[in-house]
Amino acid sequence: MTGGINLTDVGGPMRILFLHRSFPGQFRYLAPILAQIKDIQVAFLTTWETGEIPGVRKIVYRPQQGTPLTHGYLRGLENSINYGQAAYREASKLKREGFIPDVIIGHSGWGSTLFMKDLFPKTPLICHFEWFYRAHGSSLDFDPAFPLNADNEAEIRIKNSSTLLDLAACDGGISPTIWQRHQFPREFHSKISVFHEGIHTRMFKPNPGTELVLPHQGIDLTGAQELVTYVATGMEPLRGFPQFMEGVELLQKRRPKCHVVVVGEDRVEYCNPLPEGKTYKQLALEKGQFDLSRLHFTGRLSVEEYRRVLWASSVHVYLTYPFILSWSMLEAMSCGCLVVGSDTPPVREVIEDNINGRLVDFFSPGQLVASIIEGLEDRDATARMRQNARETILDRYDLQKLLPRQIAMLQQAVTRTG
Amino acid sequence: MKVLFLHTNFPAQFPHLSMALARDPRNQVIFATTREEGNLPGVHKLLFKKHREPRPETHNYLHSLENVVLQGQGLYRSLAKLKAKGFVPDIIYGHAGWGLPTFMKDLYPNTPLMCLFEWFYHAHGTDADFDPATPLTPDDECRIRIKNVPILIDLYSCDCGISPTYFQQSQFPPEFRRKISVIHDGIDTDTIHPLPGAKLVIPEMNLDLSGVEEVVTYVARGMEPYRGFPQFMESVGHILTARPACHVVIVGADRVAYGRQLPDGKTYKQAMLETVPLDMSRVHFTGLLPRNRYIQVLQASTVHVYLTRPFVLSWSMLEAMAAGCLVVGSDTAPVREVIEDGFNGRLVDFFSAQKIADCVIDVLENPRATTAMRVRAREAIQERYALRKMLPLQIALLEKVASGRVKP
Repeated sequence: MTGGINLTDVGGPMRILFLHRSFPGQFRYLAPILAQIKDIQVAFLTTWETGEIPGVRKIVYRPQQGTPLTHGYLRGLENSINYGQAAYREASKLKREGFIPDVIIGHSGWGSTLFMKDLFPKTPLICHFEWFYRAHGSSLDFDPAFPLNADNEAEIRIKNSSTLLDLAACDGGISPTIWQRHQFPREFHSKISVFHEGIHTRMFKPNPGTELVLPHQGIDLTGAQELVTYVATGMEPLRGFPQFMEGVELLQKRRPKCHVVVVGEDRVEYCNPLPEGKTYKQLALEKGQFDLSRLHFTGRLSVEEYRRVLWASSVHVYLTYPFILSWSMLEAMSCGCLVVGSDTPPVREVIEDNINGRLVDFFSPGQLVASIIEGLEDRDATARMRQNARETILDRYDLQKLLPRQIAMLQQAVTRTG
Repeated sequence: MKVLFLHTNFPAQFPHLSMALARDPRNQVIFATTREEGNLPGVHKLLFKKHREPRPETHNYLHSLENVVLQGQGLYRSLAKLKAKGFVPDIIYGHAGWGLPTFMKDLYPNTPLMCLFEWFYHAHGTDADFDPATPLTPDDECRIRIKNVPILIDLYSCDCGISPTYFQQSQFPPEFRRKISVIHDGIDTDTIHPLPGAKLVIPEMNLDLSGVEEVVTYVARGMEPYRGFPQFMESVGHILTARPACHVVIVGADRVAYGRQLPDGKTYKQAMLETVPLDMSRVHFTGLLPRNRYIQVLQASTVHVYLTRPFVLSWSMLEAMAAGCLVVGSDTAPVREVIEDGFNGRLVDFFSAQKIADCVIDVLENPRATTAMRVRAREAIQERYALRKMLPLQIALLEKVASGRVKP
């Protein structure tokens, strides 16, 4: 995964402790490359049992369950405290062994970082700050289909508790985009640097002429001239799945040879599930009329299969509420896809309409389809946008540029407190 | 201007400010509280109840936070009814940390919110680990961190904050300090002033010290290690032995206001009286006193002892200085902010009963040497803490915040 990136020296021996509920989460590139550097010891505390990275000492912590009787607003914080205590216990074993980290870098919000300053008071703590919840002005009141009540508003305010504790306790923070940093209380903005985790531009590079064949999924679209792709972890309103599916219905009528490939699992990652127990995929398929021979759901894919989808894409659709920007949009651009994205702040931070992609109204399947069809019809006009998309990623999100900066930040944190 | 005050207690830090605002007929002043007793002219009380009690099953770190959320919800519900009738305040000024300001930005998104920030908890460097006799466990450290959650929510939600002293303001995360102005609640220097030759007589308590020349006073809400009660009592033993005509007056309730109770269920008063033999004919526990009696105690004081861990500074120390007392204070940060040793009071080691006693005895032996210090003590309060000066500052800030001129 880190092939081609050479970093051999960070200026002396260093012990680094990573913390993330998932493994390796946002540290998928940083942790492995640090582990390969001579004189660096990397430990990684996580709740994920599966997965290994060469050179990374993975330690699993197992948080207690919260009680269902706890006040609804506080369940999240109770979970965080349980995560924090479990991580603390495992980290104190490390401490007893003599492993005192020179720097701790942890993902904030799930709690694992909460008590690190109590255990290692002198070690700089760098937190990865992804999101700060606001009842108004970002993701939660964006979709008129899901209005907020007073109870929701109050709960959302409390939801930030563990993030606030980390904001106050940490020595420095990282947000992947300007838009995401903008969500945090302004008093903390100067503490948070904007560094994207980085896009592996050597792995995600254009590969013109790729045909889409996915043997494990029984999909063979060899010869398909028009391929519209959509990628998300789940299938849910937050990533515009209902609007996308409405668009697909229109698109299939207007472009009889066009195939649509949907990558992702039939579940919700961020939104509430539908009350009647249905998934959003089931709901969309019931509501609309689709030519299923031209609509392909791949489920979850390996990285290689996923990349193949991006390579073969004629037009890639990425819709999102004003929320955390997905890697997939940037990886699609890195592969030289023509991205038709929602005209929402996280997307606007990267895509300028008609320059390196297209922007459409999140809520307008009609606009979405018009834009997709333009992309399918005028390949010459879109060639420039595709090239610009790739250049945007190389310029602003390339792992090769960002990794050294992330490492420099860790070094600075160590020197400053050392 | 429609002003909404929030405090579980009434009138707590806001009696003068709320009354001053209520005197202006253009203002409407509402004070939301859970305390039924008490009234202030022109101030409309809005009583609210906690939504329910916290559940015993909740994670022990979260018990007080659950309480805070339930307070906040109770207040929200009461105010939502007022809002439905059309009441929208122009400014909300609430005490932070107990949940009252927490959801105000949700109910009144366009009303500026000002908060009174008294304290931010740290496991190390202030009150919690100050006494080496009671070291912290890792569990304590973690619990203390979580205690700040409601305060952090208020810190980021509010438009502006006030702390009463620089020491208290310096406890808050540096990122928020610019948001917090330092303005003291104000000491009423008109009511509390020196009364040379005053004697302490409280007929309803059968306390008559009119013939006594040496009165050592101590005032605190409770009797506890936070305010140095154990070492004070130990020092009283030395003082009474060295000064056979000296009497000691202790004002406060026999309870623990801050910190933990003794494990055996005894109060600190009981425990100290059992360990330190004292001539009880010269030690007077008054309990809590009405305001006029309390001021009498200060005015009759020969030496006033004030001890505190690095924590919220008590009004009583400043009021004693306003009464022209010679304060023997602990050499800890909140006291040092006000008292300069030998200039406007004396500073002693918080932990040393012997040094406290020596200092008190020294003052009792050389009363004339302290005259200048007493004068300067009163001057310090008049200059830096007097209500006359603080109230206009508070009103000016409140009006500025209400007009939206303070950018959050």
